[in-house]
Amino acid sequence: MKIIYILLCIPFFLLSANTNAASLTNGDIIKGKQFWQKERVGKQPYLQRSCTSCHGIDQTKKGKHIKTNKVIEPMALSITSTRFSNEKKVEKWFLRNCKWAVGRTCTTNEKKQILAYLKSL
Amino acid sequence: MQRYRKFIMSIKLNAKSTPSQTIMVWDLLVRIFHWTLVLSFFTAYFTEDDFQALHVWAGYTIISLLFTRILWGFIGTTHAKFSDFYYSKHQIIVFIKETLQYKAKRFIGHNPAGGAMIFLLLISLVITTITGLFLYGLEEGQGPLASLPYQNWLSVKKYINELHDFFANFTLFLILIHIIGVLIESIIHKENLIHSMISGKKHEN
Amino acid sequence: MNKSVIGTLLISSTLLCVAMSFLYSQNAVSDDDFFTQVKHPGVLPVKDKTYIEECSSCHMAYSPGLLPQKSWAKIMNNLENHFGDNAEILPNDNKQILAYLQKNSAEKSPYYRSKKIARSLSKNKIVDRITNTPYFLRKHDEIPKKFVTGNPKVRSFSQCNLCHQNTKNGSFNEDEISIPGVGYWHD
Repeated sequence: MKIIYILLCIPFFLLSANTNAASLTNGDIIKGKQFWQKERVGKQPYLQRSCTSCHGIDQTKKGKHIKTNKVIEPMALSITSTRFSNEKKVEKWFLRNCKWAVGRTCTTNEKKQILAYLKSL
Repeated sequence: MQRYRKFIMSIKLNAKSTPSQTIMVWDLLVRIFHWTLVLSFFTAYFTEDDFQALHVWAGYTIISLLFTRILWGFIGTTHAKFSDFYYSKHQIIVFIKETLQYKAKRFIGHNPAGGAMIFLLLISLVITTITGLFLYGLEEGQGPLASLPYQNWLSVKKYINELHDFFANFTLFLILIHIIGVLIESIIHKENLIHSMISGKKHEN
Repeated sequence: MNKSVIGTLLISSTLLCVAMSFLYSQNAVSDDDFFTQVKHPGVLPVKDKTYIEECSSCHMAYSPGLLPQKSWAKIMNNLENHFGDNAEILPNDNKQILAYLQKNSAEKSPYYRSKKIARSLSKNKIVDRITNTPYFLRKHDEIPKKFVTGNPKVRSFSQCNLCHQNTKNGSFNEDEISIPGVGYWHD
């Protein structure tokens, strides 16, 4: 009988390992949030830079471009449901904004963590 | 059209019946100048910024007309010369008073008020066109004054603009008075002064 | 010679001289301008989808007719440092967009404002931004600073569409201006 219980439980373990479910991404979400909010030193005239410089502190609210003031729709997936569906677009913005905010391109892991954070909101 | 013909006929008949003849008062240059100026001014006034090229060319035309007329005012035919219709302030006031009393005498060339009007119009147009040239150079970077350093003219540019607008409108105002004056004179002395500016002729008497 | 003849000669030679001096001077109004302002007013309205997608997320889609092709090349080759921001795009998109911009640049455009802009540029200097073209500067130098750079609702002359309400159709007509917080302003 016990063997049957164990056998029945395996699929659930396999499932949870595959579906990016809670356990894997809790750490990712926290890391993503920290990366997102970190203030870094930059060149004139933006000596302090962070993702929040344009996107704001609260990702469920609209942000605005630091120079042009152009309104940016909320990054939270729950608010702006069209986000992250176009891979080319996502990669483009990572390229631009990581270079601006961080001074280099973001690693694959960092991108995964950021996405995890934004999708969790 | 019929009425006009009748009017012309009546003038010709009058001319025949009285011993007076028609004489040439306004030479060809004066007449071409006058009507080209009318066309150019109204073109310029109504095109403004919306049809800038046309506005500017109308302005260029007016400048050359002014230049020619002013020169002609010194070396031209009798009634085209400035000396023919330059009257003192006193004479002008007396003339206006007499006109209001229907007592003013008739002048072959420009009467004192008409003469004053010519001078005012010429001055107003000169200011309008010259300020226009400056604006074209400073604002659009085109025309003969395009190489002026606009940065140094910044504070003056605004005033040049106001002057240009003001004198353009002032000219229009003068034109209105000019037309009224011509009509009054025509009625009082029973002659068609508009026709005279086309044919150049008036009757002697 | 009778005065009529002198008069006619005088007037025609004056007109001829004036006409020639203007037509031959570099900055004279050229013939194409007569109809340009009516046929192609303003600048080319932006319709290129790639350009709109890649280049108008942070600011309006500037019409290619606002700059000469050398300036566009300079900008597109320097997107990593795009006026303080990073605006990099994929090399393929960059090529495509640059081609679109240069094909419709100021010196090649039949549009009224483009011709004015092109005419105002000096041959030696490469202008780095629209707001530094001589034509732009002449047109905007009378505006009080408090309406633009000192106005928190505008802040910069680069934000054309905040004051010019009809930039989508390529129009910068003076009658279509409303400055945020100020309203219609006439010089």
